[in-house]
Amino acid sequence: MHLECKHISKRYGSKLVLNDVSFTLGSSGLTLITGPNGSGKSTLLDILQGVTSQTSGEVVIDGKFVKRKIRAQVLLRQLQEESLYPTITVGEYLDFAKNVHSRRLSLQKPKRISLDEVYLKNFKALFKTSKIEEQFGTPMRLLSGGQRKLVVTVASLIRPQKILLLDEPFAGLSQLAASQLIPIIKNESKSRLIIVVDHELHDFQYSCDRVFHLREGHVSEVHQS
Amino acid sequence: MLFGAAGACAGVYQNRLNVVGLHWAFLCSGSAFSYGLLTSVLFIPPLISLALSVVGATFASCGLTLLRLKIASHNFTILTFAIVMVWLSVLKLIPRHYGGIYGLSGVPELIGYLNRNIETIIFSFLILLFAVLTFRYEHRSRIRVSAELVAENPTQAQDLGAHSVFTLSLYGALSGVIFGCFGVVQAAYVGFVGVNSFDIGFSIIVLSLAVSYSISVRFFCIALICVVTAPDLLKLLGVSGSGVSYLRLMISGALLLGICIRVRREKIAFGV
Repeated sequence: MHLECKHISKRYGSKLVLNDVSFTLGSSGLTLITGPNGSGKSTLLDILQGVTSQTSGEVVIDGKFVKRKIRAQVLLRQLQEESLYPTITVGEYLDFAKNVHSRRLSLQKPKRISLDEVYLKNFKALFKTSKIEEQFGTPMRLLSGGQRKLVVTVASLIRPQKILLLDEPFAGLSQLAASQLIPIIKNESKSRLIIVVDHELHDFQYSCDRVFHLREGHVSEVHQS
Repeated sequence: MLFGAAGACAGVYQNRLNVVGLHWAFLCSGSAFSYGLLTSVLFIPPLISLALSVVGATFASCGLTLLRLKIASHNFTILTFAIVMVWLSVLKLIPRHYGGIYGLSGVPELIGYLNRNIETIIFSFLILLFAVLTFRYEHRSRIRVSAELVAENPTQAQDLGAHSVFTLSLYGALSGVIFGCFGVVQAAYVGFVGVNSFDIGFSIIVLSLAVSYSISVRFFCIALICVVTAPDLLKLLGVSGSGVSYLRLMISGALLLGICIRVRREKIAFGV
């Protein structure tokens, strides 16, 4: 599933946030888009996700323009960890993320999940490091910021979408947890396209297939493996 | 029993959808007036009128709840408040023959061959049973997860696979059924529907119960006794009906005030 940005520009009033941004990404691989705060990274993600429309240019998936509703089936932006759901537990959240929902399924009981689930086997070490393994029955709102970030990143990674946009997935994680997460993301990128957005270049860039730098609305490729 | 079902329903609705609603008076009043008009003016059999009125309240509630997708939670509160005020004004403008400012009298019983009191107890019990069973099931199903996700961020919830419209409609329908039944049963019990039968004060009473429900079931039961049962008992001591209504509203206000001051913020679905 190829993703192509063709001459994307975005203007908020008189401010040009993105200026003629173009790139083409293949159906799999790991891409890092980096840039300082205010460089237009989040706006680019909003446009890719389809929640904000660009002033000019187009986003093309597999050679076609895809509407937001249908785009959500193939493209997922990392979920936000700030959400303080009153009663949703870690297990329920992961169970919900794993399932492709029908109306009927949403009326059924959530499955009580544990670390032994097949789809969580890659995350065992990560959950142990972050002390989440014992907290599957704990409400999400009671987790620490870093733990919540990790749970929503894992929830994004277990979703079936073919294009994944990860927004600063390492923010708030310990160095050990981040180092455990990198190979998992790399491994996932073998079968689908993963775009990571981060405001700073760190060791993670050496695991990426392509690295783009966004500065004052302009994009330039700084690394290609 | 009716206030128990209504308070629990509003509590679940507000907690899951992260809103504060004040449209409860609109739903009850709408269904009560529909029932009154259908039975007294159009002479449709009471049970059919009950069904039609509840269906109407359900649609109205679904429509209102779906607006949550478009507007922020604090604006939802303002919207529901405005709807009640507009509705009560509209009721006053209706020609006298169809209710209007003098209301509709001679509203018939639901079954007819039973005493009004017994009939009300039976229907109230059925509504309470429906509410308890439904919300017990809801608490254990994925729809609760879905609702909280939608309430927090509809776009993100859709990306996670939640059906936003279906989820909101379901909660809208449940509250529509319960409050619709409440309005009809109350109208059939009193035999009269007036503009002031369900005013904004009613919504405040339900709100105080709903907020109590979001703290704990035990606290909800205590609140129910303080707000509903205790003032009713005062009637036996000779306190007038309007005096009891004012007292009930005062206790509700005091309860809301106490909760806001004492209870940690995140436990209350204030949504703002």
